[in-house]
Amino acid sequence: MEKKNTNKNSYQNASSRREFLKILGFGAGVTALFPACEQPVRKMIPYLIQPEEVIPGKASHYATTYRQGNLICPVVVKSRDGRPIKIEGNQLSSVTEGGTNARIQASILDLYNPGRSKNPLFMKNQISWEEADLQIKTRFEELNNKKIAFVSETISSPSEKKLIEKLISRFPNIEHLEIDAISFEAIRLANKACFGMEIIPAYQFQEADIVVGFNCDFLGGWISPVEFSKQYSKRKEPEGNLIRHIQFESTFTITGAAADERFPINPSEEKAFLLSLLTQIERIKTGQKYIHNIDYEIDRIASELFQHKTRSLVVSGSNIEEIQILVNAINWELGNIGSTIDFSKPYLTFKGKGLNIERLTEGITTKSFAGAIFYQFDPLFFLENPQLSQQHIQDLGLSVFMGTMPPESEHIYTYILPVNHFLESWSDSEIKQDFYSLGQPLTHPLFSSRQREDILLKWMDEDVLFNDYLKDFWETEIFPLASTNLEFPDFWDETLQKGIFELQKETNIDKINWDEKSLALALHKKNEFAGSSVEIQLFESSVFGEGNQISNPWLLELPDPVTKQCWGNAALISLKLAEKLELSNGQTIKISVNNKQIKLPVIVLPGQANNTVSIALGFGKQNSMLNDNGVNVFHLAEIKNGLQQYSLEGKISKTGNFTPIALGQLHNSQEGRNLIRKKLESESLSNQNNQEHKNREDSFYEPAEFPGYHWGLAVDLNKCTGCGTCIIACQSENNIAVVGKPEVIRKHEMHWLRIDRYFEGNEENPEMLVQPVMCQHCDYAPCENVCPVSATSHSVEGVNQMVYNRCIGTRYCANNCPYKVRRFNWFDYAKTDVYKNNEVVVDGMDSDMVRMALNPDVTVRSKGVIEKCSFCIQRIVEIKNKAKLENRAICDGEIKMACEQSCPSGALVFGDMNNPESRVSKLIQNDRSYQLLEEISTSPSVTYLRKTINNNKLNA
Amino acid sequence: MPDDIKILNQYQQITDEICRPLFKPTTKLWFFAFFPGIAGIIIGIYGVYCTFYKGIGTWGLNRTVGWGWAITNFVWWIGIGHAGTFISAILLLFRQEWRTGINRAAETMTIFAILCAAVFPVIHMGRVEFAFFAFPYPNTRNLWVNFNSPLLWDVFAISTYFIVSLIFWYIGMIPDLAVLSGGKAKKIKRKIYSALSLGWQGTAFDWKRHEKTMILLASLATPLVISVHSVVSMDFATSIIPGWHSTIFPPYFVAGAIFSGFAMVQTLVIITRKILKLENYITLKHIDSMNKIILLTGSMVALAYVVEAFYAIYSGNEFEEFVLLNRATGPFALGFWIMIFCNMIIPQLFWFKKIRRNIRITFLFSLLINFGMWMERFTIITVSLQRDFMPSNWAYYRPTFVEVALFIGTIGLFFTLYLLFLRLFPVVSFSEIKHQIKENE
Repeated sequence: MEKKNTNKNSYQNASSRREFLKILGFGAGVTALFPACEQPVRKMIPYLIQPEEVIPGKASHYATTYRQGNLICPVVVKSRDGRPIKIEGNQLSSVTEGGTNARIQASILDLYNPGRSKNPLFMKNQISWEEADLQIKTRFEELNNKKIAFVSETISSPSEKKLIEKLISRFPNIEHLEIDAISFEAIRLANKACFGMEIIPAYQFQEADIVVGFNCDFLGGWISPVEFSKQYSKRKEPEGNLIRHIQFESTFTITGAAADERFPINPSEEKAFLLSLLTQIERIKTGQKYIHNIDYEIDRIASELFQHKTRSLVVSGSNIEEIQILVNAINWELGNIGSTIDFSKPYLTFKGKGLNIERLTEGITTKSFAGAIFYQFDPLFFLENPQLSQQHIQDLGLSVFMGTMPPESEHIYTYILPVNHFLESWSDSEIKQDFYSLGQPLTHPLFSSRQREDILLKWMDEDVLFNDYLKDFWETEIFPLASTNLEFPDFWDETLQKGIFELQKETNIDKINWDEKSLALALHKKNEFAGSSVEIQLFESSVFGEGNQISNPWLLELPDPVTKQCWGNAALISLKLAEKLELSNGQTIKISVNNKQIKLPVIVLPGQANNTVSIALGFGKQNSMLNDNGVNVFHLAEIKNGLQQYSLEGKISKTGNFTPIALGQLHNSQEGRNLIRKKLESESLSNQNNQEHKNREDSFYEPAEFPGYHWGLAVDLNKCTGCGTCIIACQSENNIAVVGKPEVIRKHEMHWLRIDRYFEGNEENPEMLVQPVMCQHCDYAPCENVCPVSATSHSVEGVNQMVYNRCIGTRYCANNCPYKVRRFNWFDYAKTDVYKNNEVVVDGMDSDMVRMALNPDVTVRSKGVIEKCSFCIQRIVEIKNKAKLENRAICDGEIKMACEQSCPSGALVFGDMNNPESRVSKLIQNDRSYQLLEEISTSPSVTYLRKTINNNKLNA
Repeated sequence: MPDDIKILNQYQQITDEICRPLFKPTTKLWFFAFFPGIAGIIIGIYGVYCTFYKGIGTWGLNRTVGWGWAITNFVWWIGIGHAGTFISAILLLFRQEWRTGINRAAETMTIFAILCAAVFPVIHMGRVEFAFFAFPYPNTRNLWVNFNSPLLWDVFAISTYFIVSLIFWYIGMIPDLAVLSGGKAKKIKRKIYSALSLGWQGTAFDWKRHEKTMILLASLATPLVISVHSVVSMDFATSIIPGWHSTIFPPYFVAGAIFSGFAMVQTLVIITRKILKLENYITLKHIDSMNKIILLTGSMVALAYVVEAFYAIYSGNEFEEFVLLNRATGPFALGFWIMIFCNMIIPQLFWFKKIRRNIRITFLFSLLINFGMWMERFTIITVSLQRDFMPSNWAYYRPTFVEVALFIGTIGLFFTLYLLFLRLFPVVSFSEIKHQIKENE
């Protein structure tokens, strides 16, 4: 109306000042109104002064070290414009060889977690660091004649160890208690009893021809899972010397799934089986023969082990000393000590003691400890029990909690001091003896936090920052060990650049002697399980470990490799027990152990040992932004003979309640569909395989041709353990949204890469088969021809590409994809929508902080479009540009996809299929290769290699 | 010659009787039907709001089942929209005289059913604001649509069908509109009728042209009857999903569409003749003839079911076999057996003349057939998707309130439009009836 008038008037006479203002007002109104319909604009802060080494849009990589509890891994971090965005393994490390796991991959998100501790707090009130330092020091002095507990997990950093020693010499009333939430102390004690060395030796799975595991998830959690996955995968090549692996375990683990033979056993039976195995080995060794052979299986396994003596390995995850002594005895009899078990390079992790827990509990209850400092160790998460409750900590004269994330029951601590994330810290670690790695910060601390060592330095009135302290320490302590011609500054720079430092020297240890008395001691102890109740096994989750990263939404949404459960844990029960108690998935049961009770939903798990209930540790943090994080069962663990015990007796009862469980996969059987193919090692494939490949040659259509590069991916199902590291790597690289538990229940998860898991065979003890499935980049892609607007098309290099801004969201492509790898943005998961306040976002994931973890090379997808695996096209383009500038062809292995790079087993190989010499081409030529659903002639670019089962049993 | 009409030898009487509802004050019965219609539209608008504002996630779809109620409803409505053109075009060409009593109602139904159907492919898009991408228009970005995609064929097939049906309907109505413009309507209404009648004089020349145009349009529309649902069926037939990927779909879908379309015409016509007291114009003969077509097309559909099952077993393809097994015994088996009962068994009862000529039974059966045909589409579309090639992806689909609201909304829209039509235009083509009396004399 107004506009019309304006026009009329302006026609008649030249526009007056009044008119001008009117137009101006209208114009301003319009400009204010229209942008309101635009896509939301996000804040950006430009550099005030451009740093010389930072080129906008160009990533830089720095070596550092991931450190969280006992999981230490040398990594290389990709940083864009000053913010770290992606973590890769450090290939220079001879321990992990570039491997990572899900926790390491996801730790980038912890840096940007908006729930982090942000300021030092005194009785819930914010104070400055100077005040906190001063007050705490004063308290130390005041409590001069009383003990103060200094509780931490194992300190494996040599400089930090020294620093703590120094702190104790400055304040002698401080007592350092190392406690591991999940402990393998029994191995140390058994080695002390048997060989006089209280260490965890280095296990060499790559040297073993046969491995027998007893409740030992060495691929998922036991001691050094990344390293063991690498070692193990080297022996999973059927073309080479294929390892044979037999696993005895209570719940299904990824290690059990990788085994050639698996036997479900109850934890209480472990000792009996080990004893029987030992007896059989001794019998074979002495050449005795049975007339009546009753214990057939154990006898056969003993023979197999004996046939491979010195090239075999028996491991157990138990924390009972006598069981570890039996394991030692078996390995000793087989001559494995010194070959597959190396005592010269022991692990320096897992040094915590169960006795320390007793000491702490007792000290706090009897008030012999007047104060306690919790050094990145959350006592109420790990240890809460009636003896160590909130009240006890509240009653302490001084309680200091230092951590990146706020602890359970934040309000009870006198001081809460925020600690830097590892990407904001300097550090050094000694993973195994003589294997050092260095950590450097990638960014300035995002909050008012300090590196934990700096806090100690300040308390000691040392006027030095930890990075200088660290450098000095290395100059005096470690540099002399190095046999190098470099001066220290150069040595330091080089080590920092590499991230690792490994001493090449041969450590000669004295001859290892077997102490006969130890075995007698082990045999003397009785098995205490009564047998009338149910056995409760608490196990380390292969995703969460000790649970330090339980506030990480990526990890929570990662389906558990075995149960496929997201967002929480459950009581895993066997089919028989479920039948007996009439339980099905999601029904809640009450578990009582030693007067302690918890309620948990059940998951009926095929392959679970009968009469056992297994529950994953590391879940259920109360003080977290994410409510759906399971139930904490740490407090069920008990201490027996000074050792933490995770296998207990208990009772279970039905409650009649139902808790919805978010499962990433609803159907467990592959219905005989031959999707995951396997073969026995002894069987030859050539004929059968040719038959299958014939389909492709007989095709009605001309084969698609790609004149330049033709990208392809090969997945070796024999190496893949299904751990899920690749899923997190993909999520981090490709900005994949987290959708939350209710959305996962509605099957709206967004992962581009999923791991299918099927159970096959006998329901009581089935085989577990796993298969990573991502977009297959079919040459004849069914998704491409059905899109009405050509939003998805094929590139000249064989990549199926998705054009987000052309997509109108008909979902026809997703329907027509036989692999169902296309993901639709059902809601506004990434807060990118035109409409305000309609997003469906997991708590905290919509904060500006979390957005800093986004990869700027990958579009954040908006509501209503389809997305899917792009073969990490941004990585292909980056390397292609680089090669073009250098005027050369791309080398094989130069482009690594995020999933491939993260895989600790090297199961994924990406490359150019047109190059006959490339690794991927060679794998395609392999007899074991097949394509998923090749009968429907989609001609995928992803090739799978059959799982091979080593069935070379002996008939004893 | 229709016996019932014989007694009405006065043209004026025909006009008066047919146009009675146009001039009478609104009856309670009409309002009784109209308000639920409006309420339905309001519920539907709420559904649209949820869908647009929050996203398609408010529906029960998931990563495995990308199409659910919306596409089921789309195919169902399009199917219903088939009878109108079939009656007006094909029966005109075959000179089936009995069509005159029902053709206007059927054509109207077609127009509104297509409108309702067209709602779904639009709102089921993730980004409705870019729906125009689906049209091949020249643009500076040099982007073009994908002519390989059956969804694009849909765009053309449905818009063509809608336009041709609309023209057919309108041109057929011109002589009636001319009569109305001179009738007892209010002045403003008369002016509108007059404008819409495009200066119709009723001269022999006019009639000659009109008849020629109608024949021409009928010849144009006839292939469309076949093509539209063939194209819709290709959305499924050209895909690779077991249960969708089937070459029998085009004829099977066309037969099913005419089958369900006639059932819907029965439903509407039986209500209309009752409410508007048009028993003399829409007679038992009409209902009987339509039931015969329902019997014919119903048998074709039944044959298609048998052939589909035979292919699944005979193919030896494990995926196809599983689809059949899953439909008949899986978690949604009830829907399958409803479909078999309503579409295979019920129409076979029309072999009996007594049942064919029983209005109440016909009405009940017409509802059952439409329900059965909805179930057929649901079974084909979502049950096939729920369990396809890889068992790891298998999932269930349950509609949410939003999806139900959208369906209610289109039903409301359909009945509201139809009821408005009844008040504004003659529901039986009286000029054609007069024409017929003359011919028969």
